[in-house]
Amino acid sequence: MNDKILDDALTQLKAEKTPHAGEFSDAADFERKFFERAAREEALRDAMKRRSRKIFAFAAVFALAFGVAVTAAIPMVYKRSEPAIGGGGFVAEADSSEPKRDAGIEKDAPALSIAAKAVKEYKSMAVDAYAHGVCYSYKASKLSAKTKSVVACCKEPNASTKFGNIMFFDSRIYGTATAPQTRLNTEEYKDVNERPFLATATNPLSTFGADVDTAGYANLRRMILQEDRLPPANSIRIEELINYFDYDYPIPKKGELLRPCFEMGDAPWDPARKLLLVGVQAKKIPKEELPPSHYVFLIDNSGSMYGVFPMVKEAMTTLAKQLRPCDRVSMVTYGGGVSIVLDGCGDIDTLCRKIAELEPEGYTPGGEGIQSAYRLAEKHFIKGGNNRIVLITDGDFNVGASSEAELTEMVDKKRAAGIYLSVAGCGMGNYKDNKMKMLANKGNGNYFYLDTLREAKQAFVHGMTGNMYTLAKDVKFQLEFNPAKVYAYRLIGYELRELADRDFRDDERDSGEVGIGQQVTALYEIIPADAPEAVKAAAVPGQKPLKYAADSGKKSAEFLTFRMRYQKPQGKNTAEEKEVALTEIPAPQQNWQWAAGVAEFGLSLRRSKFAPKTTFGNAAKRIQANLGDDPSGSRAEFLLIVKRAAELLKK
Amino acid sequence: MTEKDERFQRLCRDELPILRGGIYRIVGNAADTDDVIQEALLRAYRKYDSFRSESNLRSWVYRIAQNCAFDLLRRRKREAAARENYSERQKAEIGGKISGLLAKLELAVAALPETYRSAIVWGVLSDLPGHEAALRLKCTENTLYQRVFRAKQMLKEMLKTENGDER
Repeated sequence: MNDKILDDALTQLKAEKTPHAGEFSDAADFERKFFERAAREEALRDAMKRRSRKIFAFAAVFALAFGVAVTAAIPMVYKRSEPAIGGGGFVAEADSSEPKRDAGIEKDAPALSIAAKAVKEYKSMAVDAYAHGVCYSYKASKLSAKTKSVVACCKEPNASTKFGNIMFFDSRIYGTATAPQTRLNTEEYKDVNERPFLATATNPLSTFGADVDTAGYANLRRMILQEDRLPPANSIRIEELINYFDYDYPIPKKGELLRPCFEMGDAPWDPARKLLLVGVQAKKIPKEELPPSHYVFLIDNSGSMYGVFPMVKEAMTTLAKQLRPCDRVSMVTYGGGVSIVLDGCGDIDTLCRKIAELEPEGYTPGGEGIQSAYRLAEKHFIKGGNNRIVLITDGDFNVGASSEAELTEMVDKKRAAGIYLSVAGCGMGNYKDNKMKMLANKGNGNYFYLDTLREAKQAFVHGMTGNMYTLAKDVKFQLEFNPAKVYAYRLIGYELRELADRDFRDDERDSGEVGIGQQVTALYEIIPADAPEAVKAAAVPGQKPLKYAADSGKKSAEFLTFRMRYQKPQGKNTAEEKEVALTEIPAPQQNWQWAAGVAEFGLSLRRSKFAPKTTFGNAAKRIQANLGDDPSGSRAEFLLIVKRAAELLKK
Repeated sequence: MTEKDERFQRLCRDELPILRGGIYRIVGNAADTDDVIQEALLRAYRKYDSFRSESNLRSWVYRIAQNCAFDLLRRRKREAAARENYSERQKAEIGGKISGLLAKLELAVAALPETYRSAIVWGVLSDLPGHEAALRLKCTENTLYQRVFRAKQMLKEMLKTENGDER
C-alpha cells in the first residue's frame, strides 16, 4: 500500500460512496420538521415557566380529558405518518385506580377509560416496534391492581427523537412538563396498615427498627402547599413527620453512641389514654474528626428531571463547597446515556464547574447508571472511610437491571462490602416513593425528598453529617411493658419498620441506620392498667385475662424496660445492646408537646380508626403554642401546612 | 420570523447538504444522519441564547452534530444485540455497492479514532476546501492537515494488516 493507491482509493470513495439523493428526504421537508420541533420545544418551555408560576392550579377535568385524548390520538397519528421504524424508549402509564376521596382529578371515569385506551395504543405500538426489531424489549403489564403500564426499550436511544410527538405528552419521558396538566397520576405508595392496640398480657414486647427518614414530610408538604390537595392516606408516615423536626434531647455521655429519654402525659385526643414519647439522641462528632469520604453522585438527568434540575444543581454546589480536602467525589449521570462526569475528583472548582454543566436530556437507563456508580465506588474505595452513593432521581428505572429483585440484590451485596446508598427523591407526577424507600433501606442509607431549594440545602448541607455518615447500623429498639402497669399499647407509625420480637437479637436481620447527631422519636399510645373497663374493652376487643399468666410484673414497680441494639457501621459481629428500666416517666415537656401535635395532625390526616377524635384544629392549636425557638423556621412552616390542610378539608 | 429563526433557516439551507454528506459517513445511513442533524440543530436552538456571544454558529453546530454522531456510535457499540445488527447491515451495504479495496477502506475509516475520522470525513471526503473544513472543525488548517496525514498513515497500517498482500 502506498500513498498514491490510498489517495486514489479515497478519491474513489468520495466519488462513489456518497449518499444517494433519494435516500434523504427533501431538504425543505427537513427544514420544516426542524422548525416544528423547535416550536414544540418552545411551547414546552413556556409550559414549564407557567408551571413554576403555579398558574394552572385548576386543571379542569376537561383539560384532563383533552390531554389524555391527545395522548391517545398521537400514537395513531404517528402510525399513519411514519410506520414503525426508528427507536427510542417510550412508556405509557395510566392510573386506573378506584376514585379516592382526596385523589383529586382522578375521579373522572371517562378520562380514565381514555387513559386505558392510551395504554392499549402504546401497547400495540410497542408490539409493532418489537416485531420490526426496533425495540429489544417491551412490557405491557398490570403492575398492580391499580397501575397498568407499557414500557418499551428501543435499541437506539438517540432515535427517541423519532417519537418526538409522543415525548411531548409522555409523562415519563418529558413528563414533568405535562404531567400536572394531564394529571395522570402515577405516584405509587405502599399500602400501610395501621397497628392496632396490643394487650400487654399477651404481647409484652414491642420491637421496631430505627427510622430517621424524612421524605414523607417533604412529600406531604409538596402535596399540600404546592399542589393544593390532601395526600392519600397511604403516603402519610407519621414517624417521618415526627422525625423531621429537631428536638431538645440530652446528648449521649462519653462512650455512649445513643442515649434514650422519655416523656409521658395524657394523650391530647383522648384523656383516658397516655401518650409516651421515646426519644433517642445520637452522638455528635465535629466535622473535622469525621473519616474521609468518597461520594458517588448518581444523577438522573433524564428529561423528566427538567423542572427540578436547577434546584438540584444549586444544592449540590453548596454541598461541594462543604467538602474537605480529604474527601473525594465521583459523578455519574444517566439520561440520554450513562456518562461518568467525575472520577474520584478532589478539586472543588472542577466539581462546581461540572455541576454547572449538567443538563437534563433523554430517557432513563437507571440500571446501567447504578452499576457504573458502584464500579466507581469500588475503584475509589476508602478503607475505614465513608463510601456512599447518593442517588438523585425522580425514581424511574425503566431500562436494564430494572427488575426490582435484581436491583435490590445488587444494593444488598454492595452494602455488605461497605458501600452505602442514600436516595434523594425529587420531581412530581411519576414519583415512585416505595421503590426509593426500599432502595435506601437496602443500601443502609437515608431517604430524603427534595421539594424546595431550602429542603435540598437542608438535606445536603446541614443534614450532611447525619444523612451521609452512619454512626450505628441495624439499630433496633424494643420496649417491654409491665402488664401490671400497662393494659395495652399502640405504636404510632413505623408500620414499615415493624420487626418480629425474635428478630431483635438476630443480627443478620437488617434494620434502620442512625447518622451522626440524628434523633429518633417514637410515640406510643398507652392504656394504663387502671383505666376504666370500658376503655380497655374498646381498645382490645375480646381480650380475656390469661389463665396461666406469670405474676412477676406485680412485684415490680417498673413501668417498662427499654432496650436498644445496634452495630458499628464497619465490620461484623459488633452488635451492642443497652437496657434501661423505668419506674417513673418524666412529665411532658416541650419535646412531647410538639411531637403530640405532629402526631395528632398525622393521625387526623390519615383518618386513623384508632384515634377518631383527632382534629386539625386541635393539632394546630398545640403546634402554635409550642413553636419554641424554631431557628430553622421549619416549625412555623409546619403550622402553615396544618392550617392549609384544614382549609383543603373544608373545600 | 425572529433573528434566531432566520439564522437557523439559513443554516439549514446552506449547510444541510454538506452536513448530511459528512455525518452520513460517520453513522452509515440516511435515517440516522437526519436524526443526528435534527438533534444537533435542536440542541443549538435550545442553547442559542447562551451561545450567541461566543462564536461562529456554523462551526458550533458542526461540533455538536459530530459529537451526537459519535455518541450514537458509542451507544450502539455498547448494546451487543444492536451492534451485531449494525455491523452486519453495514457490511452487507458495503458489500453490495462497492467491492474490494473500497469496502475495506470504508471499514478502516470507520475504525479510526474520532478526531482522525472527522479529519478524513471533512478534510478529504467532503467537497469543502481545506480552510472551510478547518473552520467548521474549529481548528487551524495546519492542524487539520496534520491530522489528515496521521489518519492516512493509520489507514495504510490498517489496510496492510487487513490485506496481508500489498497491492
